[in-house]
Amino acid sequence: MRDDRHNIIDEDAALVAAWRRGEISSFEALVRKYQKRMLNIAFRITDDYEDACEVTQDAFVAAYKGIDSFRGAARFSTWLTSITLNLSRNRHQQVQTKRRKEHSYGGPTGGENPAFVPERPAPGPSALEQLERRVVHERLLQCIKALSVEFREAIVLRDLQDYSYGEICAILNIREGTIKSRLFRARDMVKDCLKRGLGEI
Amino acid sequence: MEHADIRRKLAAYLDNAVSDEEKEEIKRHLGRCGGCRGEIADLELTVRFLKSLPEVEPPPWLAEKIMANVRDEAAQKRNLWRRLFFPIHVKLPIVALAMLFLCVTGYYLTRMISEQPPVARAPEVPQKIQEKAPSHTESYPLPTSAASRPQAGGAPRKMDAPQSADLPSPPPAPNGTPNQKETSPHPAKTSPVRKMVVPELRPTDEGLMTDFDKANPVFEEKPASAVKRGRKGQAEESLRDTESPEAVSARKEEIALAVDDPAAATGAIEEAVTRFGGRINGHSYSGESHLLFIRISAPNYPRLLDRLGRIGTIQERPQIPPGTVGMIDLVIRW
Repeated sequence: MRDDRHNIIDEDAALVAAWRRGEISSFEALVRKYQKRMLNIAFRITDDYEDACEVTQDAFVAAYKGIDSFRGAARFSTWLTSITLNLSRNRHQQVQTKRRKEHSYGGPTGGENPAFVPERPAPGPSALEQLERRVVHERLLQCIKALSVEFREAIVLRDLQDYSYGEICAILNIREGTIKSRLFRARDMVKDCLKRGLGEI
Repeated sequence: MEHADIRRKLAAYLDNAVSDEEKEEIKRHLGRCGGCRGEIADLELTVRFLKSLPEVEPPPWLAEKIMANVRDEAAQKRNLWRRLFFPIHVKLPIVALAMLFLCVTGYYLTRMISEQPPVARAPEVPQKIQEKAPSHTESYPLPTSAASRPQAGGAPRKMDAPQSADLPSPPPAPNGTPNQKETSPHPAKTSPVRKMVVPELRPTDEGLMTDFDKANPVFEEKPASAVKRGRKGQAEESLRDTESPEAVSARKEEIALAVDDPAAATGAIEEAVTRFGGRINGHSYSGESHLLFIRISAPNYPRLLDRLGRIGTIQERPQIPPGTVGMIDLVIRW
């Protein structure tokens, strides 16, 4: 899982090279290979399926237009993910801003608090094991949704999409220590969120 | 490491993203700290739950829509580049063809300029005609009497190439071909004009030539330079002699024009003829006498006379009955 950023073997190098030569079918192969992953990343960040589809389209088109800026310093998937993540973040912020404006005109609607601060969890991790998987998933989604974007990104990239620390550093353009710290806090918050729900059951 | 530091590293420990030294230290701490053991168990379970989250499936149209957008982008980009630069496999043949075209055009232009004959260089005449033309008809008879012309006294003719080449550039010679009505400003055009005289040769003219030659025995004494001239040139000139003014005047009406500078007036006269729809059938520019054989419609004849009157003084003019229609043949002499 660890990734040596200075010794990258990109499995997509051949397709990317063919695409650079103008073979559009190579790019199509990359689209079909990565559309699901990019859609899921966008979906977990924007929390809206339609928005996620649009973001995924925009990400691939942006990648196509910006292929000259891809120097091969990272894997193609890493580069594509960073594009998708940036677009998803922008879309999420636009939606948040729009919601805030709507709330300011229509008053608070009692939605989820974006600045989620988990309470101290009740002791007893064994209670988590008792949850039905479906219930856990619903609760988990709520917990992820409650995270701020930077923690959500860390969770999505590491735990949902299984990117290595090195790849996450490249995608988010931050140091590994920061990644570890964010990931610890993000997991801790999700864990507390789950336990809080379970503890009250 | 302190307990708090250990806890902060538990997530990385789960991912095996800590150094071996840290790993050993965390292991030792977990052995003696029940809180951290519970913490790491919860984290492990949380991560397991997170990893088990189902993924959403892309809609079936997503890839197609992406590719449609990408193809639009590619088309725009290609059009932009195509405007600026063709791809090399297209550009090379185009450049090669352009170069070839330039080379061929340049070659023919150069050749045309280099082949430009001196003013009076004799053009080639078919061998058959050469045989018919006697060499002693080299001299060019003029419509006026031989006594009135200084070159008629036996001196080598000015059609002789070496002499003519030293002459200043002559006025633009008319193109004798019926299809080329415009006068050519280039001396090179003189060559085709003379060639056009050749087909006008008629067998019956041979008698005239012979009589003329007999009447001018002085021409038989030719200087050595004239003898050395090519037979082709002699033949061509002899053919020109067949269109002698006497013969022509017997068939055509003549306009006699007095001009100050005959050579300079040539262009203006030819231009006047072509302006009024006239056709130049041939010409004979030699020495001080110039002949222009034309065909013009009768209604335009007065206008031509008027124009010629501005160029010089009309001394003789044929009388064309008013109301005459059709084409008339004329000889303009100046």
